[in-house]
Amino acid sequence: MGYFKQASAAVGLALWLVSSAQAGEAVLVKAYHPDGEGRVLAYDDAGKRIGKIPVGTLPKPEFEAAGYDARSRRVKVHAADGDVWLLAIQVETSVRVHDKTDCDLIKNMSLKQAGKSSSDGAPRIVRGLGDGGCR
Amino acid sequence: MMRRGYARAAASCLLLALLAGCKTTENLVKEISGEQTYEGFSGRFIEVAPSRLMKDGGESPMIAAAEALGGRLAGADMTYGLGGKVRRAEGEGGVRVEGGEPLEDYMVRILGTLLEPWREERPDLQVRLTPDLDFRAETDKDGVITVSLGVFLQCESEDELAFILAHEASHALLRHHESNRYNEAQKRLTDITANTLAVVLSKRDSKNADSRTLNLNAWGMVEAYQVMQTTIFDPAWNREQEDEADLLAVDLITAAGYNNSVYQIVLERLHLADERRAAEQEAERKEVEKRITAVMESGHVVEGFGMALNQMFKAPTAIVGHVVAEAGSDHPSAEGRENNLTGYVVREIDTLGDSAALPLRVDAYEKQILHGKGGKLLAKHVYVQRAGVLIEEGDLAAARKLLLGLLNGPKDTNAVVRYKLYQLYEKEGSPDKAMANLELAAKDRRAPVKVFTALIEAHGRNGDWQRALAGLDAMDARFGRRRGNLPLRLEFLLQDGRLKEAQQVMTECRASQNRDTVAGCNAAWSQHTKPSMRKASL
Repeated sequence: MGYFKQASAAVGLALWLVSSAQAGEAVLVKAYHPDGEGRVLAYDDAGKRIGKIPVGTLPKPEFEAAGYDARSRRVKVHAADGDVWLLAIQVETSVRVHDKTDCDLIKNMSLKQAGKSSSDGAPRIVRGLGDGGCR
Repeated sequence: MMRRGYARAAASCLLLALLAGCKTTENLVKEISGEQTYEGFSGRFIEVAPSRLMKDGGESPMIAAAEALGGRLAGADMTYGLGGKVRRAEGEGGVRVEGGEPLEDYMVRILGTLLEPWREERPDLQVRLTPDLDFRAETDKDGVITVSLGVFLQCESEDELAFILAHEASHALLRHHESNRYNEAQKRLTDITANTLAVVLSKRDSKNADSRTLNLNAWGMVEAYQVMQTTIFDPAWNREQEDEADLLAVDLITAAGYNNSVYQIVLERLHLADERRAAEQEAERKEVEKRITAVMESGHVVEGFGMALNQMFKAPTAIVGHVVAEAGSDHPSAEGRENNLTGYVVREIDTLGDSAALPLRVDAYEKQILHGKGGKLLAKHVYVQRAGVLIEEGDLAAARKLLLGLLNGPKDTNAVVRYKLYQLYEKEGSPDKAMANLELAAKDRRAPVKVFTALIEAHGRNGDWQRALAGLDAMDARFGRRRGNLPLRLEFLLQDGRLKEAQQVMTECRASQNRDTVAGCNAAWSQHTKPSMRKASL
């Protein structure tokens, strides 16, 4: 019985982690911030400016974005003439920043340094103290 | 009779014109119409900013007149934080973190790039890293920008850090300290004149019914003006300054090649930090109340009262190191600031848009905060923070292991680690070990105020008044003599029976002319000189 409970808890935890990760990936477009003429700037996949397009040619919020580039915070949407990338300042999304806890910071430091060699100047302190009891 | 009527009417008109005039009307109109700061100009802010600068800040006749009438203006002493203006506690200048030079150099390099497009006079800016783990950055009147370790830990790209630095530098570039002083001078002169006019009006024939009505109207106008000053004009003034710093920051980071959309992230982080701070303060307040109530309910009413009194005495020192009195509810909201910036960036999308498509500089940032000396420093603070959480959770063994692992031997005086060990041993019920760590922490030349406060309190609890006084002396020597400490010093001297020195401190208290300090000293004095105490001391 004890084993069953433990196994159930482990499966539950795994499912919760998966669903959390999935929930974290979905980016919703909530509103547009167009210019005075009702248009937003659009970019192609290579990051080149296409020009301004009317928000009328874009899906009506709220909807799931076709993509999200965390490195530039741009949002991909299906426009009438094909997919375009929009700027974070002209698209309000569901992406929110999170207050990092001490464990988030330790995990981040450990993960980022895991692949580095000891000669990269990474602080030894992280390797020496491990996860600080964060599990 | 007719001439008196004209005079009253003229005085009333003058009062009305005075109260409604100057910059206040402009602010009132803005506040009522809901006009955003960016709507007050066209084009890029960096191009119009020079025309908005205070030209004669220190030399203005208005400032000279206001200072002649009411003493030194404190307007320039305000510190500009990320969230708005803050008034720092006496003597509090932000302790510089030991070993923070690599991160300070990094910020200086970023600032150098940011300031390049600014064609006006550049103030002499300095950067200081503080050990605070809160999300905080500030600029003082001397152009010192303090950035907390918490900023480095929460931010995820150089672009975010650049926006924060640009915002803080903008307060200095836009000479906000000077314009703040000018604004205060204007307010003071209006207040003095309005009050004088109201007094003149109220002295006229108070037996006459019409005059009495006029008296009421005059004072009513002054009162209404003062209410509007605190609820509308001051917040509008503060908001405008924050908006201006935000607008210039966006222009500066755009010119420096950063992704300017990061203002959204920074303002969101600021909002989260505000929420967390408010929750922590509320929890702390409840905890103190609970402790006092528990003592009172256990029948020790006098002791409970003493605790409450002590809390009152402690307040000035206990909260040093933190913001004492933020500008309060007149802080511009992060949401309002974001609306202003988004409105501006969208209006100027042709020139500002491409910046928001640039990749964030994450790698360059991580190189600084995860590797080398800067990384080591941040990692140490993160682990200390983690140890704090473990202590709170009651996992003292894990916390001890972590903290001892951070020390370089038994003689290491690192104040951050030693202070945390002090808290750990206090919780564990090992007062000797706790005290030993606290004393080592106080030896660290970068020890923050809280180390001394804890040391003084611990000696005070043990009734070791001489060591408590020695702690106060050490604190004054390190941070400068503070009037906020005078009630505590008086209390210790009286407890130690050093009446002559106590009298000197009492004189110093009165000379400070600070209401809280004088009240604290009076309370300490009266408590120790009540009949029973006098009898006991005899």
